[in-house]
Amino acid sequence: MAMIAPDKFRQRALRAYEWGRLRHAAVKAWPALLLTTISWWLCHEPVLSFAIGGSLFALATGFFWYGRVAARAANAGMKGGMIAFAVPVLAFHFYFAHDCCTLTTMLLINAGCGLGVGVLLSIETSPMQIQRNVFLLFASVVASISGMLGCILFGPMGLAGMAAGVLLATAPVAIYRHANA
Amino acid sequence: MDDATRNLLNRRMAALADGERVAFDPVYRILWPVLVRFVTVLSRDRMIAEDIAQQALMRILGRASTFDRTKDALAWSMTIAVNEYRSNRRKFGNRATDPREWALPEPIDDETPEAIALRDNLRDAARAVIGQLRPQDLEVVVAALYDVQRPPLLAAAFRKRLQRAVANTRTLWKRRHGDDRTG
Repeated sequence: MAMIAPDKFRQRALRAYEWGRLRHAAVKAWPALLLTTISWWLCHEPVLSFAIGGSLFALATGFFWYGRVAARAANAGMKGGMIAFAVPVLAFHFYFAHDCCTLTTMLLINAGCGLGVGVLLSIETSPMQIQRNVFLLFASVVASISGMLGCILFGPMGLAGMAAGVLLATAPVAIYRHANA
Repeated sequence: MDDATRNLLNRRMAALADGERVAFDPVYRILWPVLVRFVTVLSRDRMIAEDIAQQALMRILGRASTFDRTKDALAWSMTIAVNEYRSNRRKFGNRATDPREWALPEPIDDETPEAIALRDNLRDAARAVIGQLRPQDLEVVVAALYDVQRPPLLAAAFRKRLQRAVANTRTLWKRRHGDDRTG
């Protein structure tokens, strides 16, 4: 590489930094691709799996690239999302099997799982001094989308149940903190 | 580098790893002169050192998001700079630099009719190609070849323009006479 003029070099260096961040962010968002593949394999709904998984990957990469509270939220959301993904899949594949999969059971398990993840994320925000609600919002979105990948198995009701569960757990916490602020 | 600057660099590099873009300029300003001095000591050539320091700084900033905050930012940066210097030396070490490799097998008699004809042909071809250069390229080529006043540019900008002018000359030459490189 030849010497770059000093005025242009700062721009090039900044671009190198941003590209480096983006590459690193894409590597950190790899669980999204794993969940998408498992979801595709289990649910046999490739279009929906790739649409949701692609959105999750893009969102997580964006959050990790941006850094700061968004990256911390994406990290927590991914971990919570793994649980939200695994619980309904394990429950319906190995425990309830085919004969017991009623609408009520499905809604209860999905919403309960979402609720549990939402509570976990709310607890994680407790030590934070600033931007707790932003963290909660970003982490909930990532966790909900990850959980949705596991809920594709149960159709739109499963997706709605998971989203409602996370919202039920995190919204009151955010509203309560906002009111006390 | 004193301890205060070193601690500042550690803090700013950690912030940069977290995505705080405001830490970019302080890191850039602290690291650049240190890298140039460090690579100059290694290479004993200021111009080569600036080239390598630029590459090293690009690499450091490209990896800034992977920086481990428990480590020392200066030591981490220097490790990358040393690696960059080594790979650069390897790259240029692989090129044939021995003048004997470039020497012709037999000395040429400059005054034979063939030598005179060759010399005249080459001169005409070179003039024709140089005559096609843009005025700004011609200006830097002439300034580099002959001892005339240089255009009012910084040394780095002059080098960059000269490099572009040489590349343009090469392209024009290839267009007229083809690529006659061997090996």
